Amino acid sequence: MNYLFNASGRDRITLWYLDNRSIRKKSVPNRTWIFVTGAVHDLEFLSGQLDEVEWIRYSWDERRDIYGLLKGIRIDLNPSCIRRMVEAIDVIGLGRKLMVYNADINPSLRYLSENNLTLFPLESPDFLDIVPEITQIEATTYGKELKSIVLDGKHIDPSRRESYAGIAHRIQESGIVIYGNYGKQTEMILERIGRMGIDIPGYRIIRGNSYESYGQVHYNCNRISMSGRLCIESSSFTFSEAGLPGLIEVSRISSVPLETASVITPGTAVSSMEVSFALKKGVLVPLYKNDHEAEKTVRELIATDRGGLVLQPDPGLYRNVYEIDFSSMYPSIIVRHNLSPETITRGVGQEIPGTPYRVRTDRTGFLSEALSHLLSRRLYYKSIRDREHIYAQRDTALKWMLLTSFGYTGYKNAKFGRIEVHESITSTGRWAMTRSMRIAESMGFKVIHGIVDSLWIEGDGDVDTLLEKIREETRIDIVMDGHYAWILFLPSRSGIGALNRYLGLRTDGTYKARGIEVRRSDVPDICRKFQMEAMKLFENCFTPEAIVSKRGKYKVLKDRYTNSMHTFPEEDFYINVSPSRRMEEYGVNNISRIVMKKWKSMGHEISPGENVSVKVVNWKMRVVEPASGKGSIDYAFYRKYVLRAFEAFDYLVECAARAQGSGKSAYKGLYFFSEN
Amino acid sequence: MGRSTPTVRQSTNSIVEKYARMKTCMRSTDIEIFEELIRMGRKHSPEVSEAGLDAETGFTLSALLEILKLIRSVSERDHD
Repeated sequence: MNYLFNASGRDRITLWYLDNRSIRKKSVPNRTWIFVTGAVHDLEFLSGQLDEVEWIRYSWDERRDIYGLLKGIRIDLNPSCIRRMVEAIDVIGLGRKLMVYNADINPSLRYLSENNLTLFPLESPDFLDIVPEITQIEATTYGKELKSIVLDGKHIDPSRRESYAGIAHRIQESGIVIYGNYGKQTEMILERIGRMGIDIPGYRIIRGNSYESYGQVHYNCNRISMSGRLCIESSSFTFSEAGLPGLIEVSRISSVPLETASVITPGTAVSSMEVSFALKKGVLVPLYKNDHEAEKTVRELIATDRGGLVLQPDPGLYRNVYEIDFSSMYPSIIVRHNLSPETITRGVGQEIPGTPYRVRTDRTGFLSEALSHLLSRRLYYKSIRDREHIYAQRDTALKWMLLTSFGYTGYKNAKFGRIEVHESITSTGRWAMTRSMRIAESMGFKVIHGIVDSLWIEGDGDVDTLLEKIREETRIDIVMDGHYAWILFLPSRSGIGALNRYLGLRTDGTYKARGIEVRRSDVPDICRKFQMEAMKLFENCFTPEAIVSKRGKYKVLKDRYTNSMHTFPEEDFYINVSPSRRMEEYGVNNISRIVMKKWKSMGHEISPGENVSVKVVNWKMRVVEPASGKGSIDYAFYRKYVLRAFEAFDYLVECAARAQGSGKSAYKGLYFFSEN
Repeated sequence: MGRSTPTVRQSTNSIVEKYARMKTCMRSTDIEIFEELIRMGRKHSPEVSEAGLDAETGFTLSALLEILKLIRSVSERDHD
């Protein structure tokens, strides 16, 4: 059996096959080409210059990009020469006269796409993946010391030479190495193996970096690349979200080799998938985009430059609430409404609500076509995700790709993006939400809240008919995500309803929580534990009366958490700290700065976005210790966290007390509680 | 989230910051009511955004709407 699972190289591509659990490699020559367009006289000038160089092969050709047919010059060359050739063309064309295509594509991706090869191919989407031997190395450190090592799920002694020999042996016989290197622990292990003179494959360290995405600072730790093996860092985004099956799915869909897929963002994976799709269809991929934002008036800019619709809920307890969700709303809009850079016009086509644009419907847009396969695949895995965990992992990976596919349409360097598409998508999304609100209201429901692609509606109407009507009108699939016996929308500090903080008890006895401590990673476990226990306490309380009846037990629970904190294990007080800037950039001595200072004194500099687990030993003296370090807990410091964790449930009991006996919801307008 | 122009919620925050300076010389009994007014002004940001109104006009309309709602609910209570 020959099963393709990796490709590497440039001028020669090495295809990695799995042949009855052993790895077989095949090396093939990889000659490629780039395409240049421009005004005829500029192309003729370029042609004259190319004639001067004997080894360059080129031909006049006609190719199409997403907008239409282009006449130009095709230059055949090796991938390793492309960069120098592009530099030369830039000089010849004075940097603006000539447009270059297919010049910055990953050679493996291009070879696979042009030869119609798929990594980790599946005959049926239900089939499981075939993978080479895997080894997994995880370890913990204290300062520069290895505290523990886990090899393939088994603890081994970090002080014994045999342990390192065992690790080396497992690396030697594996095709995939999964390793944790957030505290540079695997680097330390490999260094030690080297010092001991134990044989391992050659490796190199790729330095990590901090980066900002959607207003948050993240950190990519140092990575390890090892000869003849695919190395996956376990804290990398896709692996930590969707595991190996999810990562393999990304590699399969985007034609990006597995190791690369583990370090790129889902957005880059979508972009690669689009490039791969273009190559398969014979569509040119521009090196630099030339489809700038079209001129618009300030009024048009203000009207179109907006995101999704987010309503303002009144804080309170609502009963008999349905949550209805558009499935993959933005990708569905792209696909079903045919939104693509070349289909958006100002002249002909169907009107796009809320924008001055129109969309052509006489041909299928490139973006719509490229994403339709991804969308249908995701919807398929979503429908079977409960059958096998692996399907859920594939679904998660595809969900992330689809989520970012929308954002990329507004990214200035996206190969197939255009801001007008981005504006049209959000505008159509807002239109779909407002239409759904009106349909729901006409059927007797009351709209409580809405966030971009979800609506919470209260009432006894026929939900199935409602969903059918919305589907029919908006052309976007919508499903019921939950039926809540009650849902509590919490107030923000300013007194109006918080947009994304709520807790709901579904009629099947399960909860959905957002924004409260049980969902947050920046609070100590003791807060999560309290809220888990409170949720357990109220789990069968489907009515306000039942909630109020637990008031006594709830008070006992709170007393236990406030008066007996010292009885909880130390791990419950560990806090994850992730500084968002460099130490010297902090103006105040907050916990992030104190932690960075402490780590520096231990010989390790924390980079912005890096995550470390700490405990506060004495807050007055600003003393913190690594989670596994010495020192006792400063309970006074943790008290404020615990009191904050009470707030959501205090509010639940308060609202329930107001609503009991009425059979109605209790929500707070701005002045007083109302009943509905 | 806007791309290059601030959202109505962001613009409203700036307005509220500006108005909040009034509190420095306000009687404490008035401050409480003033804060309620601020909450009222914030409440209809989604609708203001949808209409493409400037945030200041939206703030005023939002506050007026809430005041009328309040008057109506109080009179309905009295009626009951």
